[in-house]
Amino acid sequence: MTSKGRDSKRFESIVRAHGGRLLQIARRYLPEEDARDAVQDGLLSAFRFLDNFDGKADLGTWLHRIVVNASLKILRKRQPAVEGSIDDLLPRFHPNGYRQDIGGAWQHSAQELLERDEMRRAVLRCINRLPFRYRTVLLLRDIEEFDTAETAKLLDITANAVKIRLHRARMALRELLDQCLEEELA
Amino acid sequence: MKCRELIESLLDYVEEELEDDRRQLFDDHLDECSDCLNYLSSYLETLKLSKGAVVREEAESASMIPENFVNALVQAIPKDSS
Repeated sequence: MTSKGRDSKRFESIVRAHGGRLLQIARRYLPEEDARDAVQDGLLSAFRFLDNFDGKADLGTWLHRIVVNASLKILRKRQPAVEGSIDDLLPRFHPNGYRQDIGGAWQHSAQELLERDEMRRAVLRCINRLPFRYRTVLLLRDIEEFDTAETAKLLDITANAVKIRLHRARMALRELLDQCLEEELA
Repeated sequence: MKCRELIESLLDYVEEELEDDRRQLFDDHLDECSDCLNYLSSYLETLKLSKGAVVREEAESASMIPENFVNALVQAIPKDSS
């Protein structure tokens, strides 16, 4: 068998071993059809660079990053030219520094809420309501657990921009969840 | 430290990147302000909810790659012509 033939066989085994997990990762960013495109684009790109993979890093981790990159590329093409603002979801303050819209404590823990199917689906809907620039940072930092430097590189923004967007994304998501909890648990 | 400053510093606090003196001010404010304490609590629960919802959703959905998709991927791999 030629080296290329061996690579093709090797690649097929990689697809079968890692493909399912990579498809789940792409689905975090994209609907099904686009997620499959991202996995295909990512794996074919990985195949081209397979000879460059030195085996020092974990193969799954290498493929994960490639598919995240491919997913972000497709997501960028899909985002609308103008996205909504999240300003209404951020805390507001009086001139003296105290918060305007004071709310109470959440009565249920995350663990309790996650036991309920409708709450999990509601959380996922809330994440998807965030504009692209905030949703992507949240997914990369809080779900994928890339660090600030890696996230900055993936999004081609500064580390400071990652931190600012992440904090705003978390606060906006907190507010969306707060509204959602009121509705779901009423 | 006022509520505004505390909430603006939340990310650094949670990521343990606040300098010691600012962290002390932060903790002192939390001791006196139930509203900020509630906000911090819900901020932390938000992190757990977002990660937890995604992880639980993926655990419950199929992680097997559909066979027709595998075949399409394998077909798309450049083959040796010889």
